[in-house]
This record gives sequence, structure tokens and C-alpha cells, in this order.
Amino acid sequence: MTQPMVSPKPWWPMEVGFFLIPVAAFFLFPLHLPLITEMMILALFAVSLDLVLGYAGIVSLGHAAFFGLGAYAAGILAQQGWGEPLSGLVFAGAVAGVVGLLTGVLVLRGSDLTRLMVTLGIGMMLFEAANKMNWLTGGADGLQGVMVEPLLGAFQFDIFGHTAFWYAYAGLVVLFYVARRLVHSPFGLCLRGIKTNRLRMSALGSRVNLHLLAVYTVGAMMAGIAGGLLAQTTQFVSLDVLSFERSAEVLLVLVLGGPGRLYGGIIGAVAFTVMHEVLSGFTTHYWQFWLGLVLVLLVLFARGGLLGLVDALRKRAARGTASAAAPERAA
Amino acid sequence: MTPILETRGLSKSFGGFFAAADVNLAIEPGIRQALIGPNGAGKTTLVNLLTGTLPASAGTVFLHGQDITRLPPQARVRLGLSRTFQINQLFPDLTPLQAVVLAINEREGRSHRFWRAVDAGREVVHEAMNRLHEFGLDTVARERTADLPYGRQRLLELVLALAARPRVLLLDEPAAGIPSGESGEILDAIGRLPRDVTILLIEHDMDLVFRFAERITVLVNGRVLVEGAPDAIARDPEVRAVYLGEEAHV
Amino acid sequence: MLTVLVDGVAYGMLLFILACGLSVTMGLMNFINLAHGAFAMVGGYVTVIMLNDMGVPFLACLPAAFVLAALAGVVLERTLYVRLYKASHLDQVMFTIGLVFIAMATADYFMGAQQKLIQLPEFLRGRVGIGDAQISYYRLFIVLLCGLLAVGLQFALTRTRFGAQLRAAVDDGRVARGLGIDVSRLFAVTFAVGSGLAGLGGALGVELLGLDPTFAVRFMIYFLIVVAVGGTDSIVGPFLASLLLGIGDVAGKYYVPGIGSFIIYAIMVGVLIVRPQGLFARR
Repeated sequence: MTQPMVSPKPWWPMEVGFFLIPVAAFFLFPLHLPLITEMMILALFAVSLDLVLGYAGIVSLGHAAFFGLGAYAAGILAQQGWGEPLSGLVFAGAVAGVVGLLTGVLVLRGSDLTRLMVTLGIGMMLFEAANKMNWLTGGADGLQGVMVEPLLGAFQFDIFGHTAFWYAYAGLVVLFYVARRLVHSPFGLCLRGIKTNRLRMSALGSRVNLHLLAVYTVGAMMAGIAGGLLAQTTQFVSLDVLSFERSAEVLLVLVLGGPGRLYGGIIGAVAFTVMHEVLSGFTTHYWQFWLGLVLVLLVLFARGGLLGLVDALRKRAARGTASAAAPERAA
Repeated sequence: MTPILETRGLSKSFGGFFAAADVNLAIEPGIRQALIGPNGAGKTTLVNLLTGTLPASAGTVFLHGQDITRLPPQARVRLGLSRTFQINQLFPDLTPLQAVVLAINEREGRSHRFWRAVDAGREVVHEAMNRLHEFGLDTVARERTADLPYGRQRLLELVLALAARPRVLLLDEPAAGIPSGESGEILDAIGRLPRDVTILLIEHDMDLVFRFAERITVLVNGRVLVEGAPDAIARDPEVRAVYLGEEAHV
Repeated sequence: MLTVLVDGVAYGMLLFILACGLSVTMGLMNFINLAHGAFAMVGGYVTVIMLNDMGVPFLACLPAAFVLAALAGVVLERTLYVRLYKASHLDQVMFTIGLVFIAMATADYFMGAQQKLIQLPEFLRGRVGIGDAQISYYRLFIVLLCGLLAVGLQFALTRTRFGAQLRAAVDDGRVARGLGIDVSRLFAVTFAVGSGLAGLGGALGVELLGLDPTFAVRFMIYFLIVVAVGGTDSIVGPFLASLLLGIGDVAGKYYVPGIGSFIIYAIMVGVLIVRPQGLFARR
């Protein structure tokens, strides 16, 4: 190696293998395709939050605002007669992105607490607005009559969820690739710098707020596309896409997987969905209790999430082999 | 010669209390100037006024003849006014190499590039390694900054400030926290700083000041008491009274 | 008009009692506690159980609600919160959201999902007519009680030794420690009193705000608005913010029911944009 690497060498084969898991799941669990599709959408949503929170350090209590905006944008477009899915998805991303850009200016002012309040407040405002604008959103009954045309003009969204599965899979893979390039770029490094030491960054001449605004907008766009995917694959939008619970849920998913690692969002989405299925299986609507317990335990004992645990175990194993090797050398 | 960094009537008041009062500085290009003064003399306030961390109550700051009084800190950095901090301001989770690459990217206006990998900027990585090598940090270039010994971190602080390619460098107590027996490395590093960089050294340690400074400004109660060559300052009875005298008691 | 005003004032005063503990603990410990509403809920359910199931008189339920919520507060503070004072704000947010979820599910399990009702004592029922307006006794009672409490709190903060220590610690924790103030005891006592007041507010609010397991989340944003708008460096700011919020919310829902709570969120976001430190903060 002639040039010293700035970032650790990416492990491509393992990553490719990771993204083949859903393909295997398609064949292994043909009856659970809608669930896996939703899981992939949740993963994409969590990855979008990871850019904002894990890499840029912006704690948001209202990320669902963009998810919901995307869902309603794609849903309403299809309901009004423009059923072509890909352009609908672009529209969803654009609407969320524009709102992200406009509100980002406000969010970046002030302290953590003010940020929490402003993100939460904007999220609540959108929720209330969608709730009251019956004529457009269907209000509390949800958005009915979303008609999505065949994908690429050829693949009908079928009742088994085959098309939906591959559509969401493609969305996740493409946007994950974008996010991955972004975090390994100079821009990504700059965000990590801002997250760890803002003062030093401005002493290096960095336009800190501009960069934060940029990543907030990108995160909003990705969340919007995730929302759009949900609306198109389920052909329905309910009010809870904008709810506070949805924002809290995606935070949990990310923290569960491990923020600041990109894969944390995906691992978290899988763990969350499995947990949801298992726990709500035997305690139906007290599932929230277990959710809360997991959160509390996570913060108390495993701050890096599941991937953080894996890292810690790997480190311990490395230390274990090192100390095991030491006596041999002595002998 | 026109001064590279100049202040005219620079003042800062906190509700009636003047932390800096009518400060006039004129720093020649390429010089090593020291700013000294007893605790509470307003050294830190003055640094913050120069870097733009605090807004001035009155007066003007010129960098290379350009009025920068109203510019935000990061804009001043881009015009060539860089600083180190008294307390290390590093990136604990990044490696020194990443940190210096980051600094160079900022200087070159590359930090908004989001598609190509950091490593693709080969000349940046190359420059970063050279800069680290210059200060003997190339051997630890890929360790976590937080794991480095304090003295090394102190050097990295200096490398980061230099990576901005400053014309004026403010060194805020560069040897702070380093035991006097181990300060050789950092003193050497300061001694080897390139001559085209003007240096304003803010310091407590008189040894350091008299070793490097070609000109000394003494600040007392937010005002410039006297300014002159080191030997003149050392002889100045007023300075001895308020400053050196006090030091002697410690 | 007068009815709306009195309702708004009563509502605002109640919000103040509910939220003032949160504003003090946030200012004191720089801790983002989203679970504050859970302590209010404890007070609410204590009242419901004692009043409905055990036949304890309403006025005797109020101190019990305070004590039990304070107890819950001090136990959680000493065992769990104390580990997170130095943690990141994200960790604090996640941890306290977790507590809220646990509290909501627990309340649901033991008390059921439906809204709980209580029967107020005879002397608090009924209304008095002033001109055209009909003012309920209960709201007057709340205004009176919460007003007295607010005055008492302000007195405690500004005139007592404990208050002086508390203000010193809010201004600068390190200095306070240097002065020999036992900051961790201060934290515990403050947290307990704050939780207790929330519990009292929860008890008083059963009739006015409604009580069901979602209470902890439903009012979380209101508490946060009070803190964010009022600032954390005194209790006068949160008091004014509470009144503003109470009157604004009641008036908004009365005169423009079509947009509901939208107006409150919009005001809050607006205030935070203009004054990120809060409307009544000194800085």
C-alpha cells in the first residue's frame, strides 16, 4: 500500500453478502413479504436519520415529519391520478427535501433543547395540519384510493407483494449506496468533525451551519422517499406516519442498531421488527412496555447499540487472544 | 511596512466592565510577537476579539489592511487568521491523519464534495502526511487521537492550525499543561515555524516568551501598558512592578 | 370572554404546577427529562384510586399524590437518572422516552386504556355567575391553590438558604460545589419536589385535562413548551409562559376550533426562532 488510507478499508465482499440476505429472505419467507418490505422501508428511514443524527449529531424528535410528508406526497399524487411510481417517489423526496431545507434553517439555531422543541413542534404542526385537512389527506380515516400504476409500466403491484418487495429492496440498496458514498466523502468527514468538535471546525474555517443544513436536507429527502415507498407499496396512508410515536420509533431503531455506522439503521430495523413480532405475539398491546424497557436497558448498558456490542465483544476477543498468546511467547 | 494584523481602539465591555479598552496593536509581517499580562489582564478576551468569537463593543480589526471586525470566525480563518487553543480542541475519535485531511479540505474548499471518497484526494492525503511528518506525528497518523499522549495531542493542535495555511497564527499558551521537563518538543516545534507566518504568542511562561519573542506587548486591566523589544520590556520598571514583580512572588 | 379568560388562567396555572419542576431540573442538571409527565400521571392515578376505590376525600388525596409522585421521583433519580447526568442529550432523550413507554403500558395494564373520571367534592362543584360568564368553583380553586403555590415557590427560591444554594447551583455547578454545597443532595431534593408538584398537578388535572395512559405523552409537549418558552433560569419565566400557553390554547380552541392545537405549536416554533433562549430568559 503506497498511499495511507484515511478511512479504514471497506470490506466489500461482506457488504455485498449483507445485501444478499433480503434476496434469500424472499425465497425463504414467501408468506412474510409485506413484513419484510416494511422492514426494509423502516431500515431506509433509519439510515436517513443516521445521516442527521449519527453523523451530524442533530438530535431530532420530529424526523417522522419528512417520512409522513413523503408518504402523503406520493399517496396524494397517485390518488389524484398520477400513478407512475418512480416519478411519485421523486416527488415525495422533493417535497420532503424542500420542507427539510426550509425548516432546517430554523432547526439549526439554538441549543440541543431548542432543537428538540423545534423538531418536535414542526412534527406536531404537520400532524395537526394533516389531521384537519380532511379534504386533502382524508384526516383520521387515512388516505383512500391510492392507485399506483405498474412499475416501469410492466410490473403490477400484486397481492403477494412481489413487486413491492423488489421495489423497496431497490430503493434501499440505491439510497444506501448514496449514503455510503456520502459518509466516506470529504463532506462525510466534515460532518464527523462538526459532530465531535464544532469549535475546532469553525476555527478551521468551516461553514458549519451550511454543512449541517445540507445534511439535514439530504436526510429529509431520504426519509421522504422512504415514506413514499410505504405509501406506494401499501397503497394507503394513515395519519400515524406523522406521529410523534413514529419519530420515537425510528430513533429507537437507530439507537438499537448503533448510530453513526449506517448499518446500524438496517440491523436496528431487523431487530426491531423481529422484536415487535415476537413480543406483541404474546402481550398484544402491552408491547410498548417491552419497547420502553429495551430503550432504558440500551441506554444504561449498551450505548453503541447492537453494532457497538459486536465491536466491544470483538475487542475483548482480540485482547483475549493477545493475552493467551503472551504466555506462549514467554514459554 | 504595513502591519499584517492591526487593531484600532478595540474595546469590549461586559455591562460596564471593560475587559479590553482601546487596544491598539500593529503587528509587522513575519514577526514573533508575544502578548503577556497577569491573570485577568484580558488576554483571552483580546484573542476572542481577534478571532471573532466575541463581537467587539467598539474599534476595528484589520487583517492585511482589510476590515474584518464584523466577519464571523470561519471567514477570518479563510482570510488567513488561524489559532490554537489553550485547551486542546481536537477530534478524539478521528485519527491525526483524518483530522489534518479535514483541515486541508476546509482550506481548499473541498469539504462539500460528497461523492468521491476522502482517499481519492491523494494530494490532500499526501500533504497531510507531510505535515504530520514535519512534527514527528507520522508514526501515529492512524491511531485514535484520544489514545495519543498529551504532548502529541498538543503538537497536533499546532499542525491543525498550520494546515489552514495561515498568514497570522495566534498561539494561545501552546505549552499549557505540559510539564516543564517535557516541553522541549513543543518548543522546538514553535521555533521551527515557517518565517512567512506571523506569530502572536499569548503566554504566561516568561522563559518561553523571552526565548521566542522579538517584540512584546504587555496587557494590564484590558489596556496596553507598554510595547517594545524584549530587553526593553525586561528593564521597564512599570512592567516589573505590575507583572514581573507579581511573578516573582509566586 | 371572561369564561375563556378564567378557564385559560386556571389551565395555565395548572400547567405551571405540572411543569415548573421540569424547568428547574432542566436548568439545574441540564438534563432533558421527557418522562416528567409520567410523574404527573402517578399523581393522577393515585387520586383516582384513593378517591374512587378507597373513598378518601379529595382534599386528602392531593398531598398523597404529591408525596407518592415525589417518592417515585427520588427513587428513580437516585437509582437511574443519576447515572445519566453526564450522558449525551440523545441518551437522556432515549432513556426518558423509554420510561414514558413503560409508564404508559403499566398504567394501561393496571388501570385500563379508558379515560378515568372522578367525582369532585360538593363544595367544588357548581358555578358562579359573574355578569354573563359562568365560572366553575373548581377552576377558581385551582387558580387560588396554584397561585399560592407559585408564590410559595418563588419565596422558597429567593428567600431561603436552600433556594440560594439552588440558584447558585443553576448558575454554575462547579462553583457551587467549590462553595461546599452538596450538589447531589440538592439534585435529589429538587427532583423529588419537582416530581411531587407534577404529581399534585396530575391530581388536580384529572378533572380538567382528563386522565388516561397517553397522558404522559399528550402533555409532554406542553411541558416542554413551558420550559422552552419560559427559560430555565427562574420560575417567573415558566409561570408567564404557562399563563400565555393556557390562555392561548383555551382561546384558540374556543374561537378557532378548526385548527385546534396548531396555533400553539406555531407560536412555540415562532418564539424559539426569535428567542432561542426562551421568551423570558435573561440572556
